[in-house]
Amino acid sequence: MELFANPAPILTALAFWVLSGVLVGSALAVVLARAPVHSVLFLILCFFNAAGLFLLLGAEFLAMILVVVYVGAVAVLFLFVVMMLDMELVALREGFLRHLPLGALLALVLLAELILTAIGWHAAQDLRFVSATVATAVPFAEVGAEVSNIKMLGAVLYDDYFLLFQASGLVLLVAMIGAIVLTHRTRPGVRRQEIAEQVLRPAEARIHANNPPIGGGVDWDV
Amino acid sequence: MFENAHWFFPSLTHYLVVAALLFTLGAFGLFVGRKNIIVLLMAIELILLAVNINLVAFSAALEDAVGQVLVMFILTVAAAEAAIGLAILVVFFRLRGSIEVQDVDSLKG
Amino acid sequence: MSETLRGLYLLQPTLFIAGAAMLLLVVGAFSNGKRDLRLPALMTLLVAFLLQILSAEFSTPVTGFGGLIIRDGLSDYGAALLLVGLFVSLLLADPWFRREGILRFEWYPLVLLSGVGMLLLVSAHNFMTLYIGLELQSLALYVLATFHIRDLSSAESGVKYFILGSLASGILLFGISLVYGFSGTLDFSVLAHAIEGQEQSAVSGLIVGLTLVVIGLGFKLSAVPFHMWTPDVYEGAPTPVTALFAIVPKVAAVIILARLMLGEGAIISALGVDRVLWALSFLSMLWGALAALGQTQIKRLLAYSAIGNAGYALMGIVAGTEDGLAAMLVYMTIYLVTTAGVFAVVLSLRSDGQAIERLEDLKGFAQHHPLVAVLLGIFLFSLAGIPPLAGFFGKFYVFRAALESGEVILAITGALTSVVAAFYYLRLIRLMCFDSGSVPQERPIPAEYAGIMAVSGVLVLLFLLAPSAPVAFAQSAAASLFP
Repeated sequence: MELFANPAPILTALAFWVLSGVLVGSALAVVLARAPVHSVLFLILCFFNAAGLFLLLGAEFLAMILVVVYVGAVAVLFLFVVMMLDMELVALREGFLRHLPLGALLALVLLAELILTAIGWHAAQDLRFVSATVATAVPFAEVGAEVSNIKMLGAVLYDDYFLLFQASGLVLLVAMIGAIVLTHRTRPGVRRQEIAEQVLRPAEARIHANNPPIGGGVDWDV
Repeated sequence: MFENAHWFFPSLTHYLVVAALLFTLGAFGLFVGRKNIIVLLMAIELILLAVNINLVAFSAALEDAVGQVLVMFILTVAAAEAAIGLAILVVFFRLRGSIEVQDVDSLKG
Repeated sequence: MSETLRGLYLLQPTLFIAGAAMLLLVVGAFSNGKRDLRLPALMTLLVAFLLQILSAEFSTPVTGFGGLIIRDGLSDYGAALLLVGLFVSLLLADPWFRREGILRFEWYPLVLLSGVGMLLLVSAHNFMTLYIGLELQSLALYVLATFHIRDLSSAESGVKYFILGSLASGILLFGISLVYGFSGTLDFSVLAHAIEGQEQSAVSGLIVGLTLVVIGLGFKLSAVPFHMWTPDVYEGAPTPVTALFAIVPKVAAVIILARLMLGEGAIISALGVDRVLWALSFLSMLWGALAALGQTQIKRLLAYSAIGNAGYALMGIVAGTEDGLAAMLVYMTIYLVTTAGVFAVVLSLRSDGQAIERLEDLKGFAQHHPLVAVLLGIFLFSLAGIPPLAGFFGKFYVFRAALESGEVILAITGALTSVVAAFYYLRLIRLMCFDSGSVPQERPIPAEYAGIMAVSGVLVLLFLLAPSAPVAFAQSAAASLFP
């Protein structure tokens, strides 16, 4: 693809092969690893390599966001949960080996189909020019050919897709409510401060003079 | 070996194939390789990653910003989904004491 | 700027509900859950319904937010139906939650936010809106399925629903990415224009993408063979949540499928992917009826009933005509009313302080509670499509539309499976009436359930007296897709 003037095509190509190879390998390892912790770590490796691929494609902002959000938040969350739940190392079950041939066959068929589709992209090239001239497509050139990825995204996201931006905020809200509803436990006996109550307490109630008799001790429960 | 080696220099097709591989691995992992529920959640993340790679690759090839905007939304939703999935997992674990797939069996069928 | 204002005007019911949901959340949080949010939530839905009706434009479709959403007869009909369904679901939920002792104030914001997702979905005019609306709806529903956090069945239903639902979303999304890549756009109109007159061989990538999209939506609709999650999730989730699942999300899913498939903006049918819908319809009707025969648990039976019903609704879409779409809308409306009635009965079934779960516990039910049993019989017969109840008319319209389009196999399959379902429900009614031995229900039925049962019963019984009004309504909604 002649996207940007590429000063080092061989280096780019090599980077692609390395990143893709590690990506696919790690993905396989995520599924096959024995310990869940290993799976999560391989998933993190997947994300890093995918971020690298995004960089090759010119989407540097998305690459960094992938690292920050996916690795920094999602994968860390996975790790927390894996650590929190007491999981035992399980050897590959026989069920896995039994299902493997059929599952692998189906996977190969699916893969072949998708690859054929990918290769077929060349045949259907004319289609994109039909719709690329319509207002809803936002070509790079329109936003500014030498504009950074983040600037381009900002220009499009907040102008044309503002509604969906707010809606995805609602999605995050639902996730937050859900996480709290499902997992929050109030433990009895935990002492907490009621700030409003403290602030609104009248002056007379703040201090109480006990005047205990000498040697009599103080009653704490006043 | 590198003259006329069109296969070596990545084109759109290369990226789509990588995404297809990831998608297949995720789907495969979901149906066959399941041992515990966390691995299923990770397989779903792989599927979403495959979609993201697809979209960024198409976006670059079409020189169109819309694909990358969709990727931003997918990232948001994927994070939300992971949070909810893990919360549900924790609820299940607290009641059942295990997250093995074979222990998800109290409902018939 | 005026574009944004117009968009905001078009979406006012949706925005109102979203704002109200957030407000309710804040009120609930600050009152530590002590404030009863039921009335505000119900009022919200009423106001939204009013806003919806007052701003309805049945004549010309209007797009907003740069083509992200559309407001036409179909979306208005769908939104009205959804709001009624949500209202009924909230009414059904409260008494049950209180009796089980698990009501939490977050229930209301979650239901309202899932409603926002569904409303976005029926107004979607762009695959991005479709995805965000669908995910907003689904994520809220996953949480609701697990709402009873002390109950293992609820947790398990949540796990299954989440895993399979996320897989469906992933497949849908992969399809969307392929559609984007092979056409360069995500907007429905632009896509429809772009593929007009294209040969199938030239757009094979689009076909694969759209097929994946249909598969993903089929999951959400519980269409066979993507229905695996439905029986378990319906059984395990708390019953009011099951009622919500059965009544509302399906409406949104069929409407978005209809929009993709029919009329001027047809995308799916132009490329032959409608054959996939045909298969989904056929298999759903068959399997929904056959698998129901062996069920012993009430909620699982209702799940298979929902699966079968998805098949009939899809038949209306597969017919491909304006009449088919109108028939599908009428069918979904009748289905909503009937299902609400069924769940009102199911939710009120209790003996010994426990909810009744198994069918055989209904033995002799009619002798102790004749009125409720009669109502349940009416609802079941309506679901099976027996005249002169409303359900018969719903199915009749769909069958007629299918036959008029030449979909003979589907229509015959539909008729046969209705007979099978009717046979099964007859057996159930006989069990209720003539067998003996049930423990009588203990408490008086809460007013909400009695009210909904009564209203639904009346509507189902008396539909035949005035069918033309709702049908005309549906027809004008359907006409908006076929100018």
